[in-house]
Amino acid sequence: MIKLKRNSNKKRRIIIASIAIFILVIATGIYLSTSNSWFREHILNIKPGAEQSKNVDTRPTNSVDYSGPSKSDIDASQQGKEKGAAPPSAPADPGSVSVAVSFAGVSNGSVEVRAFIPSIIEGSGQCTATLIKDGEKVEKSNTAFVDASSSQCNPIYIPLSDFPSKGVWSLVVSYKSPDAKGSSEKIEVNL
Amino acid sequence: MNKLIIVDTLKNKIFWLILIVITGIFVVASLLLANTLIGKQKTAALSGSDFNAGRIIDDAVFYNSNSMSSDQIQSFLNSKVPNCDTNGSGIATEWGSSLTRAAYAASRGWNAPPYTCLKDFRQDTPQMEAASGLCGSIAAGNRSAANIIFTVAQACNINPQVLTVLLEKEQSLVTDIWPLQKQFLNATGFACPDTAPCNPQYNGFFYQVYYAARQFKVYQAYPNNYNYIAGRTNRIYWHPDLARCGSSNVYIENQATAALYIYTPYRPNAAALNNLNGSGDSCSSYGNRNFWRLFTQWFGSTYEEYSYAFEPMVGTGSYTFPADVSVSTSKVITIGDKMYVLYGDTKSHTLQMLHWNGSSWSRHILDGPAGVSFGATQSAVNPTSIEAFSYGNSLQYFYTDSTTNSLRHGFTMNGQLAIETMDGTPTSYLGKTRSLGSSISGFVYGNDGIQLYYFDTGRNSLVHTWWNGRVWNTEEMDGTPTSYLGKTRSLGSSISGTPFNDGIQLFYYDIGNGELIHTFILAGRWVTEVMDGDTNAVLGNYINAGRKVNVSNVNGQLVVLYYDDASAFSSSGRTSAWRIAYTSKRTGNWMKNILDGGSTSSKSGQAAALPLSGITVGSYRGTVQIFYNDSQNYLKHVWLY
Repeated sequence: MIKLKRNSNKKRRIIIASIAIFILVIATGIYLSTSNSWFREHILNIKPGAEQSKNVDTRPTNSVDYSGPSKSDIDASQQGKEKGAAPPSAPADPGSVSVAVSFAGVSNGSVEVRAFIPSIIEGSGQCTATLIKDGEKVEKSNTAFVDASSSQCNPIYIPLSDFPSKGVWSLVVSYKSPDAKGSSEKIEVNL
Repeated sequence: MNKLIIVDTLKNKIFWLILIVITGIFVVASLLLANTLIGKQKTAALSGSDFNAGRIIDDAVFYNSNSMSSDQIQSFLNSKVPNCDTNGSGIATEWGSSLTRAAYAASRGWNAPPYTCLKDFRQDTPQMEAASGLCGSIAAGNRSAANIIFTVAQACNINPQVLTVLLEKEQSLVTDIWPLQKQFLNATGFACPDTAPCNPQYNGFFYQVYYAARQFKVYQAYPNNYNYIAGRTNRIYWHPDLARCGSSNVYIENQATAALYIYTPYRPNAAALNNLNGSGDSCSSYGNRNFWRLFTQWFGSTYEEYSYAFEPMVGTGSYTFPADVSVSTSKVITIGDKMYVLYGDTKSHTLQMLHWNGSSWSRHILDGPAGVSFGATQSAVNPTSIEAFSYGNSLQYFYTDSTTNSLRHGFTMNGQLAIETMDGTPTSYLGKTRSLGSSISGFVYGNDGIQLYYFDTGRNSLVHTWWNGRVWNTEEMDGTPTSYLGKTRSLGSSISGTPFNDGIQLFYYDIGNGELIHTFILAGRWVTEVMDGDTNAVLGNYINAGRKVNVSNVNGQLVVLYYDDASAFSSSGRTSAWRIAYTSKRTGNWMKNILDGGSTSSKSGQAAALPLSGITVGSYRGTVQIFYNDSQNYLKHVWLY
């Protein structure tokens, strides 16, 4: 009798274990199929094309992270308080500015010069490109205008025909306004 | 004895119950852990080496105003500030102080509480008139910060995520749990030079957000007026200390990246990129690095990215439709919720069609020998190019047939299929004797009716034929001195066109020079340029390019596919190895990828060269859909999602 019951228990154990494993396998499968695109595509062979009846959004992949501030977010959260709070560092020479040259090269038959003054925002100045080679000088100016975070020089175009010779010319862009003046470093322009 | 059996059974049940519960917990815990690790890996994967100075963000992302709703922006802002210290009662440990934040603020001369976090901020916003070509009008109102971001983004067509990141990059406004008033006054750093106070004219949260967005649109509308230009190499400085830190040359790939550099004119150096969340060295700048880092961490890639799915459709074997075909050319069109793929099969000499009815595919034979098709020809056909579209309530398709050297025209009329010979023979509808090439493009354009473009290879010219609602007209468009464009070219191989941005865009192949020609209407005039296949081309690739070109306007994105040659010239000559190039543009510059063939680095990863046969690209529910013949001789289906 006991032996019989034990056999019956063994069978029951096997049946219950089989059911448990079956449920776990199905649950794992469902989990992977809903959360893992690699599993879907390679194991289940569900291709996105099979789901074209769904409304597919073609806009760039965009996954907004709503999970709250990260450590780097928290670390950086106080940086705004001191931005612009410190008094502007007074330059050694009041009104002295640096001029940045963002492009200097030959384009469409002209020497094209683009420059800006990062430290001030004003529209009252004038930018001048001066190119020198072997004692020869070519110069042209244009006005500056106000931008979001800098003063921009309007592009300066000097026809190649204004240059007496080809070769490497040395360019300096200078800026002058009622309140500021300065110049760029020397830049080589190959004509 | 019975009691023992019961106890024994009970013990067994409990044993198995515990075992199942423990195993279940273990499996669930493992899955959660794996998921967490994968998530962590994704975050940890962001590296300074991923920063591309010439392509910080794509135009399609930067100018996508629909990325988030006002409610989604609000939820995002809420998530970044779980607890706002409105009263400044918390200890200012982040400043190394044991004072309360209110007391610490007083010691620094900052404003007293209350501190309004961005998620809680509201203000009256003024009426803003529309700025032509830049921003639409904005009605006056009382708005939350999230709604201001959303409203300005919509009015100016700038991604609200860009504006949100700008607020953080400039003033830490998104994450600060006790922001000061001045942070709102200069929220986006607009009109704030490096070393001088901000212009008070633009102070205030709304104006800061609005004028920053508007300025990005100004840069886009007048790209030639500013210091940094997309599509060329620019000098970009590392740091405001220009002379000490110097500059580097950067090829700026798109207008959005140019706009970021105009707004914040420095490039992060290696030291800044090596320590993405911290400081670099005395020549490091952080504005553009932080923009890229924050955007990527908060909203995903700054690039317009798609996944590519490849599916074998018709072929011998386990394809969607098992049949022995070799596709000569194909054409996909969408009418309402249905998609039609017409293609020529050189094995059965037929014109065939796949039909997607919104949920499943079916296959039909439209034209060819008697007994296999319900077409009118009843003889072998060899379609070399196909064009199809809807006009009125009918499906219209045109194909060049090399067996009769004619242009054939099929259409549905009262639910019945009809086919007629349109051009190329004296007995055709147009009655012209022409040597028709192997390519045709057509579409319906505005009130001008049906537009058809195809070649007369006898004259190496491009023919334009159109239906004005009453009669068909025809003229010579390009290729000869007496044509409309007056250019002498060797035309006759492939053409594709589409209406786009209030004009017509045509792409065709110049056989003589191996170039892809782009001819389009700009400001009411036809303009022509070399797109690919020449070192001076827009895409700058000198190798033969442009065969079998096919173009489509997909959701405001102009998508162009064509074959180009993966082989390089060598002293022993050259064997062509065709691959499909994918190029597209929404605004700004063209982006080019290799879709399939020629290299394992192509999107499909297939290194084998492709047979030179027709490609068709179309759209279905806003997605790019592509069909062509694979090197294994089956019709391949590619879609981007």
